Amino acid sequence: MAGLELRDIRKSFGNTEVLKGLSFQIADGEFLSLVGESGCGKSTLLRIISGLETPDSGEVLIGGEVMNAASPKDRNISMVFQDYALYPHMSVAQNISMPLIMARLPLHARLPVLNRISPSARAVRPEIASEVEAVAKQLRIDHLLNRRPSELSGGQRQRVALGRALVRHPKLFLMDEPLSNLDAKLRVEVRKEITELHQSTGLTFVYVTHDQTEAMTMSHRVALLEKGQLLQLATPGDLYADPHSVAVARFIGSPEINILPAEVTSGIARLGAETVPGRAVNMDGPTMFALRPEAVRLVDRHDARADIKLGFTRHLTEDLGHEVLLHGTLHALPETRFRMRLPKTSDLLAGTGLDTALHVGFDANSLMFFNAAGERLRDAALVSEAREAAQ
Amino acid sequence: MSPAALPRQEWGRRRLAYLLSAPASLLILFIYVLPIAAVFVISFTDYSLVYDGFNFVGLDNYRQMFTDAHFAEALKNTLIYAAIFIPGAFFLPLVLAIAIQRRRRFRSILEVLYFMPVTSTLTAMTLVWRALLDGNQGAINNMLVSLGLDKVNWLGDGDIVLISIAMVSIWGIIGFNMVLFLAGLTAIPQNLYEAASIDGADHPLDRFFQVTWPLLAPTSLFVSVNTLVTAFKLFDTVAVLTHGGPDRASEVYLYLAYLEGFENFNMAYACALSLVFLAVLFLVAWLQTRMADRRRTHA
Repeated sequence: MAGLELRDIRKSFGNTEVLKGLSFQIADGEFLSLVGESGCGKSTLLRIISGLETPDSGEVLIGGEVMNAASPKDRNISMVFQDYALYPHMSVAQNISMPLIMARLPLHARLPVLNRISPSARAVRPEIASEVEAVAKQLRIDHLLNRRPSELSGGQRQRVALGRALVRHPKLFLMDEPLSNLDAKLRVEVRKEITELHQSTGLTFVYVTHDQTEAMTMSHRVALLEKGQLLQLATPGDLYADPHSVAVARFIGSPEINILPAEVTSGIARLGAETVPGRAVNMDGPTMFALRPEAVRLVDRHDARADIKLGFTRHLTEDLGHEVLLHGTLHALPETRFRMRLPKTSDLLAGTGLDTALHVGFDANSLMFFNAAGERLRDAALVSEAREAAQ
Repeated sequence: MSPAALPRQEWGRRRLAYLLSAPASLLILFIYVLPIAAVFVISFTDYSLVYDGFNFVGLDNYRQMFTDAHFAEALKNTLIYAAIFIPGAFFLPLVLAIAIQRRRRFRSILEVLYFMPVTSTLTAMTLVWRALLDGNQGAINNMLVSLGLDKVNWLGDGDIVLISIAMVSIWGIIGFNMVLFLAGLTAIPQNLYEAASIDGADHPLDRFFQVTWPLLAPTSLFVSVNTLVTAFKLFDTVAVLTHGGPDRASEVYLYLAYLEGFENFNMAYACALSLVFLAVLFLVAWLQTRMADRRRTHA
């Protein structure tokens, strides 16, 4: 049974169509990230799943039930907000207990004054308190239960928000950019904790982020949105290795993938003025060659091991210790930025200045091909003459 | 460091600071501080507007309050009036603000309509109210009659007159308090309501008691202190509508002070009344603020 299913969800605000018919399923217990630039509709989609927003058309199914008409509290979901949305006037314990109080106490027992004399409140409250404490312990905030949110650090507030979401044992756990207000170091830490939380609870998570690293490291699958449309929904590995479109290829991977504009005529591909060795199969006219920066290496001009060798001018070197990033341009395409990522600094760089002519090499099968509209050309290939001869 | 050791530039800057704050300080001194000091001194004398010279009489004026039947009466009237006025002037604007805030259309028109009494001259408006509330020819009574109800002697009946005055005052303050509440409501982050509805607090009473009311506390405190002070400061409405009548039934504290000072020429006694008034207001406002502070830190 699907934990969550969306069927052709559409939503417009005024004249702006924010979601243009989204459909996909999330398995029970899956961790799915919704990723995209700001304004792609990912947050709106999350709000529609939560019930804070209603879709113009389409269906939201949670645990197999159509939930379009259900209010947020009846959907059995929890949500963690970007700025946590903790109740500032309540202690941590009160914040976390809120969903339980709302679910278990009758209305009169939740109102001021009356709540003190309600017998049902007296019976239920200790039970709630012990559950809150258990969740707080799990998140290691049990020593903060009597504090106010204003007395907590960003990371602690984050945990309180997680606790408030966890305490009700929801079917669906929604998170709207929960890490964006944390500093870089804490973000990595909490990222790991959320992954562990997902593993230990086995809940279905839907996680909205604009950060590809978060999406790639945490999720089972990633849904990449652009302008209200689903570009691709796949595992992180597939998104990286097998993007359906140039937009996906660009979004995933750091540094960004190299997109080289090529012109193909009757089986011969040209990058700028230079002819690319090999026979271009199943492509014609303007084509985009995409090449991951990590698939490129520096080569000697006479190196025969690389299928394709191109002249390269380096503009900038970033030595990160465990890897070296080179930024520059290919001689064939002086207008196009070219990036490469080397596992370590190369002997070929020794003694070279920024103006020294270098050569980069890569294998023909590490290239991905896209047509001018940005769609992947799956059958396209560059077949090298040497390999053809060998076969 | 001794003052003489200060560099010349620092002295110049200090002098400029004093110069710049002088006009405001002088105004406060002449308009508030000196008159209060004068009132304080006069309250220990037998000074009256009609005789030259005066003698110090110690606490006589203050002692007189405890035996003055009019004073007791005025105090009682003020408290009755406050008991009617304060809840109305607090809760009506609160309800209106919450109701108006959710509206997209007409919101600004409604705001302007409710705020209009605040911008108009209260004395002039009170004259209009006197005509409306007139026992025989008043529009309100005519309306009651046309509905088949009995006429009400709004301003002539000692049991009703304080209610009538409170109604007029509430009408005058609704817009002001409502705008304050609207400002307070706007400052509550919308995502708290969203979090509340996810947590299951989507009943209007839950939304109000779990989110709105606690987060509105600073505004509520300000409005309540302000309304309380307004209640005790009641004067012009009484002066225009009833002159304290009928039979002193609407003679409130400040109106009594005015009568004693400018009608009976007991200026010294009026000064003592005013000072006690000031002290009581100060005390009440201070207590209210302290209570709210305690609630904020201990709840």
